[in-house]
Order: sequence, then structure tokens, then C-alpha cells
Amino acid sequence: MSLNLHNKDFVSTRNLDRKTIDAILKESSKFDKGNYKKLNKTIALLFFEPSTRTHLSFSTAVRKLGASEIGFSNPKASSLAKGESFSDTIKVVERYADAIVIRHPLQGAAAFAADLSSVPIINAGDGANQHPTQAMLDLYTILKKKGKIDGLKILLVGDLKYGRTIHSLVFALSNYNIELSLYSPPSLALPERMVDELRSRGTKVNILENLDFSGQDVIYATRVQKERFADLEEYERSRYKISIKDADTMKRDAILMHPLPRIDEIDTAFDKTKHAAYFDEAANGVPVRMALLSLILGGK
Amino acid sequence: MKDILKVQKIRHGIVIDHLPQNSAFRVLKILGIEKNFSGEISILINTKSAKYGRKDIVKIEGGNISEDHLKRIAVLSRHVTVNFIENYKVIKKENPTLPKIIVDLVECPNPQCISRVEGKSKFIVEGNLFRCAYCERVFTSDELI
Ligand SMILES: [Zn+2]
Repeated sequence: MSLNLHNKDFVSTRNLDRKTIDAILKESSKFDKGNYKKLNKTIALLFFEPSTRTHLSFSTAVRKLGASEIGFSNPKASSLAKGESFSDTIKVVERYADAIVIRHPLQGAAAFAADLSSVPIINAGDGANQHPTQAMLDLYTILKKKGKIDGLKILLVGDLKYGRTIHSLVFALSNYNIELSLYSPPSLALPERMVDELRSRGTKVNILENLDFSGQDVIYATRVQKERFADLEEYERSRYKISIKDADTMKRDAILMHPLPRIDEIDTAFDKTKHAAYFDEAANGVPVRMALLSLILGGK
Repeated sequence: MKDILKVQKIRHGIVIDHLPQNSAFRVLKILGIEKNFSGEISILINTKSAKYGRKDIVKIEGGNISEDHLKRIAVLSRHVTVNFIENYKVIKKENPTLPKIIVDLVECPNPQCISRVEGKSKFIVEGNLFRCAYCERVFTSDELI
């Protein structure tokens, strides 16, 4: 592989360039079509925070590649429960595995592990910071549904402050010529410094006062979590629901995305419409993660 | 030099000059001399400076300063001058500089950052801002010190 992903960590989209992302998407398409080689490697999945969905997706990717999986999906079942430090766990596991996939409740955990580990670290979500493999499957989904990423109008709705999938997605998207619109409850806005960073990268960012779907090619919704609010009334005011009636204001070919699990942000009535891309999006996680693992660990 | 001479001279010690306005107390915090310090400290706040409009100056009679102190002061501002005084004379001037990556110097202010739990820190200097190499958040020097 000519790409500089070989034996590299994959912890954040902030410094990913377009060439690398395009190559991941192209490779993902091959894996999606079942066109790939087996990977004779051992991959550790260390989930310091339970996540059924992401774990299942990575685990399926590892199995389909014919690689071996070690690790844990629940920190309570691991030696961590006995008080082993994060650093020690990484130091031990790097001796067993060819790559380590990490999910952790604290921000920066994957980058921290990357500093310690001699084998590549793949970030499967670190607190409110990043979830870069989700961003790759999101981009892959957009590309597959729309045939392109450049020129699209993309609306992000929901918790943009703590949403790690959002943070990874916006920096990945900043490599493309897109127009980004943001709509969130005031207390959950995309951090100002991130907005500045995106603008300085040349991305057009609109902050919306009202939830307006018109003209948008991609509508990406995320959950507004109750835990983020000290005040229940504010939580109730901040909730939103994309109702099937809103479909009238959307472009006919607009796609609706959501990293799932969804609570009630998107009306289930959308599920049978052409707008719904969220279930395909989840399914795309497998070929994209297979492609990534192969790019990092394979080698031609 | 004129600015320094204007205030009371010190015999042995250090004069930290060209500090940003209202940063003198943070310098004392960096040096850890708020309590149990036997030396004599004088502080000038919002004094006129030919170069920077207004500035602060900290003078410490009998004080000493380490490499780590200097680096932390450099986080405050890249324009600081540290004068080392012996027998009323400036024997050495230093402009503390920062490497591009600063390790284990200041704690990440983000309570949700892994570095806080692991007791290590790493920042990448981006102009006047500092980006935590772990949680990726950026901070101003005011937020770090
Ligand atoms: Zn941090």
C-alpha cells in the first residue's frame, strides 16, 4: 500500500488529509463488494466503556477478515476491575496483538495509548473527543448514497458539543468542498474554537437559528442525552424530533443519517422511505472497518 | 533596563520583566513562592513599558529559578525577559522559549482528559494556543497557568 496508514495509529480525523480518506473510501468499496484478502493477524478489542454496537461492528469485521480477536467488551469483566492501570493494560496487550482497538470513556485515551504502544492503536471512541472510524463509515455512506461528497449541503442536528461522532465527522468533511449547517440546543453547540478551526480550513459553516431542512442533501441527526442537562426543563426544551411531516420540506433525494442508537430524534415512519440511510450506515461499519484494519495491518 | 532601574534595586536575585499585564500573580504561582518564601518580592503591575504599552514586573531578592519555572513562564508569554542579578548587576538575561511540544509541564484543564488520570501531559504549541495532544482541546496560556 502506498498509503501512509501502514502500521500507523488511527486516533483522530483532525489531521487526516483528503488523499488518505479517499483511499480508505475506495478500499472500503472493494471490501463492501467482497473483494478482499484474509488477514492473518491478532486484533485486540479493548472496550473500557461498553458499546454493543461498535463492538459488534468491529468484532464482525475481525471475523470476516479471518483474523483472531482478543480483548473484552465490558471493563467489569477484565482485570481493570481489579485495579490494573490503563497504561499497564496497554503494555500487556501490545505483546499479544498486532493492533489494538480502544473504546474509553475519557478523552484522549486512544492517543495516550498510541504514545505507549508499539502496535497501531485504533480509536473506537474516546469520551466526547473523537470516533474516527464512525466518520469514515459516515463518509462512505454519503459517497455510496450520493455518488460524491464535494458540493453537498450537510446539516448536523443535535448534540454537537459532546458528540464525538460529530467532531470526527466535521474534520473529515473539512477536506471536501461542502457547506455545513449546524443546529443544536444553545447549550450543546459545536465548540466555538472548533467552528473557527473549520472556517480557517476553508469550510463554509452556517449556524442555524431554526431547524430548516430545505436545500440540504444530507441531514445528520444525533441524540440529545438527558445526562447532559442539570435542568430537566431545559432538556425537554432541547429535545427535537424530525417528524415525517418534515419530509415535505426536505429535498426529495435528501438522506437522513444517525449514528444510532436513536431514541426519538427521527420518526420511525421515515424507516421505509428513501430518506432513511441510518440502517445502511450502520451496516457500512463492517466493510469500512475491515478496510481500515487491512490498510493498517496488511501490506502488499 | 531603564524600567528595571526605576524600581528599587536588588542585590542578588532575579527580575522577571516584560510580563503581560496582570500576570505577576500567576508568575508567583508558577514559582510556588506564595507561602513559606523567605526572600523579598516586589511586584509592579500595569507599569508603563516603551515596547508593550503596559506590563508587569516581578523582582525577587534572593530568589532562584529552575528550567521548568522558565518554561512555565514562557507559556505565559514569549516576550518575557528574565534578568539574573548579582551585586546589583545583570549578569545574565534569558528569554524563556518553548519547544514545539511541551511535556509534563502543565496539567490539561479538561477534567475529562485521560492525562489527568494518568498524571502525564503533552501540549502542542499552535501560535498563541496550546493543544492537548490527548484530548485535542486548545487552551490559551491563561487557561493553562
Ligand atoms: Zn487534555
